[in-house]
Amino acid sequence: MAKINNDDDLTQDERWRAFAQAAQDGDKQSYSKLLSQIAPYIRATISHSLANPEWADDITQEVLISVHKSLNTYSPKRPFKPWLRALINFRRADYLRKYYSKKGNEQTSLDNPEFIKKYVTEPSLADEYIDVDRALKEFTDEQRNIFTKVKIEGHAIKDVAEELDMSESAVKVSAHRTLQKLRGLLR
Amino acid sequence: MSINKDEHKNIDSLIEGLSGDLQCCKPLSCPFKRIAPWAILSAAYMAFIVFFIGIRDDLIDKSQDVLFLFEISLASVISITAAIASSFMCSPDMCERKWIPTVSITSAAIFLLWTIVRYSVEGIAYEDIHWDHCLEGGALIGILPAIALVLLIKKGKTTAPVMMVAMNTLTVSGLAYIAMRFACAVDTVGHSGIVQITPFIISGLILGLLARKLYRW
Repeated sequence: MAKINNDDDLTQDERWRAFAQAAQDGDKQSYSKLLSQIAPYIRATISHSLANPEWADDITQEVLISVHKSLNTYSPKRPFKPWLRALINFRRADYLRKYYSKKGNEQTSLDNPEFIKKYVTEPSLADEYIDVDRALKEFTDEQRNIFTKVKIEGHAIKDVAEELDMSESAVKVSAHRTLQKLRGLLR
Repeated sequence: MSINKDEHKNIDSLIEGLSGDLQCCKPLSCPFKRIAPWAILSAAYMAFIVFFIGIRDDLIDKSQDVLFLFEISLASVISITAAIASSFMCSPDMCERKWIPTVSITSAAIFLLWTIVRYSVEGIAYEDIHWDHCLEGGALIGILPAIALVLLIKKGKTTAPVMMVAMNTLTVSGLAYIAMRFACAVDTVGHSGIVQITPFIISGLILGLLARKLYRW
C-alpha cells in the first residue's frame, strides 16, 4: 500500500496494478479508485471504433462489471493493461454481436434519418446511400421492390419469392440485374 | 448488491455499487500448478481404466515399434499442450501468451497429416471401422476427465470460449486415444485413426456450438 500513497512516481499501469492488488486483498477504497480511473480509459479505447457513441457507456459498464467478476484472474505479477484490454475487446465484441444479431436491426429504411445515425458506420458515406435510393427510382416497382428486399433489407431469396409469388431464380436474376444497372447509373 | 448494469443509472453509481460489493479474492495460481492435479489424476484414472478394460496382449512387442511410439508421443504432446493452453486461457489475457494454443493446433495438424500419410500407404482398412468396443471404452475414459476439466476451467474467465472448447477437446481426445491404443490391439488407420477419434471430434464440434453458453460469465 505504500506504493499507492506515492502514486505520482508510478506509471499508470503500475498504479492500476497496485490498486488491483490492494482490491484483491479487500481494499474498497483502492478498488473504487481503480474503477474510477479505468472507466475513462475504457471509454477512450472503444469510442473511436463504435458506429454509435451512445454504445460506449453501455460497453464501459459491461467492462467494469467484467473487471469485478474476473478480478481473481488478474495476477499482480503481470501488467494490468493487457488484462484490461482483453476484457475490453471481449465485451465490445460480445455487445456488438448481440446488437447486430437482433432481427429488427436488419430491417432498415434509407429514408429514416435514424438509420444514418444508428447504422451507418461511416457517416460521411451517408450521401452515397441516399444516391442509391434515388437511383432506384429509375427502376420498375417490381425491380425496386425485389432489390430492396433482397439486397438492402437482407431477406432470404426464398421468402421474397414466396411473398411475390415468383420463382427463386427469377428473384435472383432480377436482384442481380438491378444491381448491375445500379452500378452503371452510379458510376 | 446486484452487479447488473441495468440497476445503475450511470457509471459513478455502478462503481459505487461494485466497490461496496468487493470481497477479498485469491488470485488464480500459476497455470501449470492449476492444471497439474488434473493431469496427474486423469493419468491415474486412465491407467486404472486401461487395466479395467484389459491391456492389449502385444504391448511389449509394440513398445519396440517406432511408429507406435511416435503416435503415442504425438498424442501425448497434443493432450499435454492443450491442457496447458486450457489453463492459460482461464485468464482473459491468456497470461500474455496468446501463442500457446498454436502448439497443440500444430501438433494436431501433424497428427492429421500423419494419418493421411498412413492412409495413402496402408489404406483405410474399412473392415476395422466398427464401434464394437472402442466407443464405450473411449467414453469411459473421456467423460470424467472432461467434466473435471470443464469444472476447473469454469473457475477462470475465458475470453475465447470457442478456442477453449477446442483445447478441451484436444486434451480429452488425446488422453482417450492414448488409453485406447494401450487397450485395443487394432492399429489400422480405419480403427485407430478414425473410430477412436471421431466420437471426440463430433462431441467437440457440438460443444463448440455451445461454447459461449458453456463458458459464459
